[in-house]
Amino acid sequence: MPTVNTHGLAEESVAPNENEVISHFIAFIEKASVARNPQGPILRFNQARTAGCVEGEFTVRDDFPTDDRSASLPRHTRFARSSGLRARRTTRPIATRTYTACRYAWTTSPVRI
Amino acid sequence: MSIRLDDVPGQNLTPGSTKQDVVLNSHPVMVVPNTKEFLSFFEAYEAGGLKRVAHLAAHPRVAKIGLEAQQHPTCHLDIPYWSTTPYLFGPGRAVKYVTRPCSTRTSTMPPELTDHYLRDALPVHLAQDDACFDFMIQFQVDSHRMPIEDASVEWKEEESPYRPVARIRIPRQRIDDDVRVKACEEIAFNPWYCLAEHRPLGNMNRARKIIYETVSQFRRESRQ
Repeated sequence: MPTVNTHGLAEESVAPNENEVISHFIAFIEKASVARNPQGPILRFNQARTAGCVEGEFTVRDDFPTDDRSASLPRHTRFARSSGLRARRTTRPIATRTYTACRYAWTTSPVRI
Repeated sequence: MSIRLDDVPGQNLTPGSTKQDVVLNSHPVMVVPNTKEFLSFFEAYEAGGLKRVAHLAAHPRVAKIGLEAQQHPTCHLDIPYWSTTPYLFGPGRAVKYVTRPCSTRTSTMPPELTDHYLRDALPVHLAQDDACFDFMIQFQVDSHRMPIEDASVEWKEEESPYRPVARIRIPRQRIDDDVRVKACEEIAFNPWYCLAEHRPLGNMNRARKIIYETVSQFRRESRQ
């Protein structure tokens, strides 16, 4: 069932035994990984099939909705700022910036139900 | 689909890193709500046979989401992707990330769905045409119907629309040469390579921080 909560927006709720569960998770992955790869190097547990990597451009739009230009947005624009990259000059508060050094990768999970 | 932006200035949550990674899935939700259920699922899956069947019978929601997530897209460039887990968007605001394809070209389904048809389709598309995605965010507007801690609940687009933030352009390129393939295998994406303003939120993301680091180190040591 979906978790019911009474928290505010963007608020997290940490379960008391969370770290214990995570430790068990790690122990399980390590044990299962060794069992899968007894002779050779350990491969990624659940994302072993990489389809490919590409390079591209990530350009922040200059028409980002006005109602989202809150206090957080100027910081968010740093999400797309990068040294040595092309950036179009603009007088708008939200600069359009282009990454030329971003990378994208696809993997196919082998887990099937 | 995973995205890495390099040389991003600002306070990064991984000391020394200037990367901003975005890790996405091809289904809007995870099959399980949290790490505890994920461990239970993986244990049953790894055991196989009757244990796997029994687990799915006892967790019909997991089975339902898992079946819904099964798909045979024409190409990795032709489908949308979702972060499934939330991220901070400055103080007091949470978002999920979504990418939606905007390429003018889409691939055709091959006559036979081999195990590697998707891997084959990607270089074919990019040898002939650019590809394009709209990068969007979706704000959390209700903490109950759009929970932070349950990654198996979809944040409905009707409740909070996807807002385009950026355009991803992938120019035509060769991606299947040996150097590129080797480099690709060595990339390890981690949502905790990110600015503090975009801190990963929720149980799954908190677990990823520890699990990714520990298991990655474990894999490295196995190669020595």
